[in-house]
Amino acid sequence: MTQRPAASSRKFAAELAESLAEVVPEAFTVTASDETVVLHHNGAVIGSTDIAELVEASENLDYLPENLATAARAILSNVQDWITDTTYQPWPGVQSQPNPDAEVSGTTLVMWFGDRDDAVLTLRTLDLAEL
Amino acid sequence: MSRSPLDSGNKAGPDLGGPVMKRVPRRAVVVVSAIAVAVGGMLVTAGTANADPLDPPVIWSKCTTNMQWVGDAGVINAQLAPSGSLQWNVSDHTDNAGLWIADVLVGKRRVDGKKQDYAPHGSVAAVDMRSGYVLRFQIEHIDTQGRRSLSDPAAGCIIP
Repeated sequence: MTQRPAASSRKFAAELAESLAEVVPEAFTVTASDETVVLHHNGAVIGSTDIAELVEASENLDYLPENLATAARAILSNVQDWITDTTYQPWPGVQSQPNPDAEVSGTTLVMWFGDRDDAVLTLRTLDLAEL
Repeated sequence: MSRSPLDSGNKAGPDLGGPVMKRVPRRAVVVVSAIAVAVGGMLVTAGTANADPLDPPVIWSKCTTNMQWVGDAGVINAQLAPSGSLQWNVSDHTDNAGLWIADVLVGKRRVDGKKQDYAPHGSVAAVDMRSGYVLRFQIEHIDTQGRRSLSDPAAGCIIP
């Protein structure tokens, strides 16, 4: 039986970019182009990641739905690093860098920074049915 | 800063056979995958495999708390934390600007990928560090003078 991807890589990248754009510091923007999530600062590209491709990677369909969480963690981690490398300030929060994490819960993808029960920042939950 | 070749292989991590960040002439980019060519006395490959069929088989060592793979163009550092997560960074010996493209794989599964214009660093969550699989770095750097470097296919370790 052939496994089906848990979501569209492109829709996943777009939704995650939109979710991140809602929370990044002023002067930063997050966009998506196809499977690539891009962080901008004052209009200049800081970095990009195409790890959303993992969601539909045919050779990794055994790892559903973990691929969604793995890709989300990587995107959150990269955006966090790029912001910190640009501002020289921790983000999110004001102290040490909280670890990004993500989990598929039912038909939703939950994403946060810090401890699950005491998150420094929780992103908007993504509805997998819409991806 | 002079560009003197450094010893190949890693210094504190697994016993690896070749240089980790190889400087590659740009024209090598057009070479198809899995075809080895001799350019400037150095065997290189280009393409998705990033492996030289003439290289000896890689004997992977277990990931440790302090790993370093040094090449003639740059160095990759990685640390396995007690929690099971992994931190890593890479740098060019002489020019950290330019385009960097970095991928991290666990087995055949890519767990991170990024493109940026300064030396990258990153982390892999413990949940993505699957025990028994090989963690590998695939890093490409095109510096401000257009010189292209590739990480050695042996830059990696077995996840304990």
